[in-house]
Amino acid sequence: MNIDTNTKIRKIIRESLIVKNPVLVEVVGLFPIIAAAVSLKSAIFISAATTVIVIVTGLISSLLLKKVPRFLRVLIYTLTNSGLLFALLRLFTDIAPNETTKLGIVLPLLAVNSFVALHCERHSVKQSVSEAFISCVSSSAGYCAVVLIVGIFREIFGSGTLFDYPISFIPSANGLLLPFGGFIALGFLAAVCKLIRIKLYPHYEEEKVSDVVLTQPTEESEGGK
Amino acid sequence: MLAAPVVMAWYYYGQRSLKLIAVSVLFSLALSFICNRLLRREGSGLTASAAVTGLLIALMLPASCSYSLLLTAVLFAFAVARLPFGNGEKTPFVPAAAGIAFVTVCREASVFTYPSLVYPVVAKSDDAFVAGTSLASMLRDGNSIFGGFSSIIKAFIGEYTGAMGATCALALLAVGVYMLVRYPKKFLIFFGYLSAVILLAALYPRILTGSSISVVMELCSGLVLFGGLFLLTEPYCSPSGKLSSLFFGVTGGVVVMLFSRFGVFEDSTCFAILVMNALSPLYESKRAREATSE
Repeated sequence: MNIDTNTKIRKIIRESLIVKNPVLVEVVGLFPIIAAAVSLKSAIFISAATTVIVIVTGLISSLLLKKVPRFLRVLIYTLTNSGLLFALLRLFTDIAPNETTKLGIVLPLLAVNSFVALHCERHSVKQSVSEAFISCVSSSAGYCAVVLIVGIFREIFGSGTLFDYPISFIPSANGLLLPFGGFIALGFLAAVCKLIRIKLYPHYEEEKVSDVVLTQPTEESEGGK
Repeated sequence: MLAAPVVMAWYYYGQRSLKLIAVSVLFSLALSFICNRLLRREGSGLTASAAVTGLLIALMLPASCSYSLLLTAVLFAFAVARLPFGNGEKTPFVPAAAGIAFVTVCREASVFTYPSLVYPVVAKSDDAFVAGTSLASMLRDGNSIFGGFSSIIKAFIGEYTGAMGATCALALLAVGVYMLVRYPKKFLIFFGYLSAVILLAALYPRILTGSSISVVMELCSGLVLFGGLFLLTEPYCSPSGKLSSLFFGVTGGVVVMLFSRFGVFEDSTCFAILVMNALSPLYESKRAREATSE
């Protein structure tokens, strides 16, 4: 790898992990976090499922879907996710049936997670396989970090436990287990993320960071559609 | 204006109410100081609005509530409803209402268990604690007070248990009269609110003993009057125009009554107030909105 490649990879990791964190900056894929990230265990399952589907779908889109029209690509993402989640659900049910039952409809609904589709459309489909892999891994890491932090926060302050071990000295406020608790936690995390970005990477301009609007399809990006 | 509810809280619930109020106000000031340090703002943060937030929260809780419940409400009010908006007076939601709404969701039983006025008021966790029946719980269950004059007077002077500062409707109505003289714009909101509450209570009573008793019970129950006086009329969470204030108050009254009737909690005034806070920019004229944003 030459210096340019290293710089490019570092930029991809930096942007997808902090500067353009999918949850805290681009505000995508919120539903599983708000609805189901109420404990560390559930957060781990959501993170694992999301990581697998983002990496696999990202690689497929980078390898095979560059010349496929966009409207078909989105359909293919959903079908791929559904297939993957079917297998993951079977696996999770074997590992921890209670936790999987608690997650309910959330895990199957990850098939239509906006995070996966947006990430593939914005990055993977325009990148080489290695770049797409790095981008998917780092973006998933950014997503999972948020899911885990929210899960830990809500479990400690909402249920008074951590990984089901009671923490007696913290008074629990079970309101945080409701969706508004998730929104509050995400709001504060977004503020912290912005603070970190301003401190570490002051050269990123505000409007470029929060640019979440998809660019108009061009002939090149549509692959000769 | 808050002196009247404080005095009535002390009169009905004794020293414990004053202790709770003092702790709440001091904790609010301490949090405000910390918020100012975090935001690196000038000044100590020991402002009247911070103290009022603490005072309002204490007055909206039962005198038997635990200190942890009180502090949780204050902490939430500051951390979520004040700090992210600069820890000043300009907040989109009334912090006190947010704090009470949060503890209502988290610990409903503690928030709606009021002490009996016959026995000395102690903490709910104490073995000597005796619970009383509030007007809001009677309304929820469809029970009515007696229809006699003395019974109605009892309801107005706060002889039925409830939140510390919200039971004495007579004192609160006196504050309303003071508001008419001193703050006419605020009074318009309260007037519209009161009219809507009275009208809906008379038209759609939740009890079988008639409209007049229904009006008395609805007015004296829960935080209905208290919320209309002190929460709905917060300056930066309500419109500034005269006509818009009146309409805002009327809508507030309707929303409070709808929440009372269909809400899951015994008293949902704080939730209704938060909804109204969110709606308040819609009542402003375009010019007023632009002036506020500047």
